[in-house]
Amino acid sequence: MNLAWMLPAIVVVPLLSAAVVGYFRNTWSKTTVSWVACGSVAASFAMTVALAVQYWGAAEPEPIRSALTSWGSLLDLGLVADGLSLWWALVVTGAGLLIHIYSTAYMREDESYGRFMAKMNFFIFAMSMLVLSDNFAGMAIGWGCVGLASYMLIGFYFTKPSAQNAAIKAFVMNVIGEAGLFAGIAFIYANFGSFKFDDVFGAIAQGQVSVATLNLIGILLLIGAVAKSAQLPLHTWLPYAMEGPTPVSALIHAATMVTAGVYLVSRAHPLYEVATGAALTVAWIGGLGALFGALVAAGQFDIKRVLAFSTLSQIGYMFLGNGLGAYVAADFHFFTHAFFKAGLFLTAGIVVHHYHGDQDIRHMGGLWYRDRFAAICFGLAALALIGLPPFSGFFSKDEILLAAFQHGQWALFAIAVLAAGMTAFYNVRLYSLVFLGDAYVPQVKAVGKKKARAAQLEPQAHAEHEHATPAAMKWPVAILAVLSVVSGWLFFGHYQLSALEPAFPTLELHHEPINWVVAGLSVAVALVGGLISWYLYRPDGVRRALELDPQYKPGILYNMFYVDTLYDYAFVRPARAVAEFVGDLFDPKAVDGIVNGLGVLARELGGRLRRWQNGLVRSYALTVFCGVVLVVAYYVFYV
Amino acid sequence: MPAFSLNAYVALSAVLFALGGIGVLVRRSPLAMLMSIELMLNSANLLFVAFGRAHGGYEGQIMAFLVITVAAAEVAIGLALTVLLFRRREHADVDEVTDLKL
Repeated sequence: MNLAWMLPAIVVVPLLSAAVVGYFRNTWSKTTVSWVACGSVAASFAMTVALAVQYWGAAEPEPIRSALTSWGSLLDLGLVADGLSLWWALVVTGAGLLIHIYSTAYMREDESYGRFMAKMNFFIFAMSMLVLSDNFAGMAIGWGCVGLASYMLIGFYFTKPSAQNAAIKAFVMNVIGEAGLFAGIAFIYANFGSFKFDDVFGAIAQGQVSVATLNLIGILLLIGAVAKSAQLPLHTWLPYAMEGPTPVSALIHAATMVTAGVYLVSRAHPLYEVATGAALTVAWIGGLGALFGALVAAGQFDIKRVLAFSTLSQIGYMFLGNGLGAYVAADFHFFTHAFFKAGLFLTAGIVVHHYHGDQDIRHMGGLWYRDRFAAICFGLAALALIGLPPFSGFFSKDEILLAAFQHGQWALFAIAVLAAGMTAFYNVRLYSLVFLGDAYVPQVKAVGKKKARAAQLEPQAHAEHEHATPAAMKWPVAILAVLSVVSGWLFFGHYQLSALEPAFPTLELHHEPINWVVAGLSVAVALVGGLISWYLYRPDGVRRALELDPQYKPGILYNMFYVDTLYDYAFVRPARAVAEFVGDLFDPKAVDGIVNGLGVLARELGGRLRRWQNGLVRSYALTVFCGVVLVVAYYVFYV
Repeated sequence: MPAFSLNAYVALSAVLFALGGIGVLVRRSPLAMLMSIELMLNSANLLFVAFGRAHGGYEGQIMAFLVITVAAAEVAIGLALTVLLFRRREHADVDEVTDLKL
């Protein structure tokens, strides 16, 4: 059965749904909007599953292709379903479906519910376009559209100035990356004369282009990947992107869009296999990002920011794997990460609902006694994130560490293991602050004992008439929690390899059993990190008491190593100074001066010339007469 | 009719043209100015006819008739303007008619 028609349908159905839902967002009831929006993503997911069954079910997996346009030129866009794109499309549409369902409950009270669902659908379109394209041009279109979706959804609460700023920040940082990406694609077209992956990678395999050029292209593509995946040094937009609603953070800024950079490098692996310099850069950016994100996550107080930096750190691991040639490991880590990180974010959404939108973990505590479901799901996903066996993160992260180990990149290996320890550290801290210990007591200043007592009792009073988490929010969280437990060992080894093997025909793939030296080391470091954190942040821990003290002044970790401050001084303020110079001096003085000067000139000239028009007929006649005399004289004497 | 030389006609025409021109420039009455213009046109006519005869063709005379026609039209408009001017003002002095000046 030929299922190639499904390829364009996967992409187009969510786009159509986005248009329809967006158009009828105020006319349709919220229930109708939910059904259409979730239905379209479900249809996309079902078609992806059908294609996956067809592809992997065959004895010799053959990429399924479909044209998207028929302009009859090299610029024709096409779609392809091969191991890599299906692997990604499954997560995009699958996690997308779960998060859509979650949103139907989470966002239902919002008056702009229809607008939200339309934008989410648009994102699914853009992301599936990105991963299913069979050429760089179509991928770039998807790349730009996911950026647009991200911008629209970060700025979803557009009346909030902080959300507007965050959206602009994300967009600007991504445009920097897109400049690199598009330059890289332009170089590809200049050198290969085609956008098609097959043509480009075929030419690379034949060694038609010099390694120096490939390194340049690799670095340019990497700039795009770094900005989109919030890696150092273009990561500063990600913590602010948490201004968006929590499902957005889960879908776009954790599970799928931010990993687009990982996809790009995986997809362009024939290039990075040859361009070893660019590949090593990828690995180092990833390794440093893994450690940086894990360190900063340990100093944050906003629950979603902790998770955002954790995402940065985990994508760093994926970059590390990609840069070391362990593409399968990187893609596997993307797979497991999508589940446990989306699970963490969605649970965080439930948690934030309990605190009426307050995201500060210092104002939480003791949630274990109020919402056992959220506590268990969060715990399972966090264990997967820490990478303890047998949770999913263990298997995928272990493969990346193993790659660093086998390549003899000891510095990178040490950094990655250290980051694993820090991962355990910030997770235990987060879990302990949110779920364990006593409920937060609001500081009541200068009141009698009676009022303080009432304030102390308030959280319990809240808990009693708290409405339960809706089923539409519970089920996706539960599924994701289960997946973060099982997706590791379920797919580790044979399944994961046979799924991704056809995508990497140039690689010699063989299944590595777990190397217990590497695994034991990383687990041991994680346990040490977790225990230190437990000592510091357990309900009676010293550090916990210190940080919960209102007098506590957060340090360098909370301030994200002052990178934002640095960028502020290095780029934002100079740009603002130039803008102020242009706005306050150059424009009013120079530009307006020229325009006003022309006006004055015309008026002055006119004032002089008007004296000639004195209204005396005889003076006009004299002028004409003199003119005639002059003309005649000219002809008489000179011609 | 005595046969004058061409130079005599040209000289007479120049004198008439100069007289007309001076009349246009110095007189302030619109009627006098119109008459002076007529004088200048007719000096040109004289020149046309004189050259036409000297060259032995009819073109000069045809041009002279053409100029007479144009002059008639011009006088018709000029006189109409003058009449209107007289109706509106006591003195028809062209130097006082400066209403269109800014």
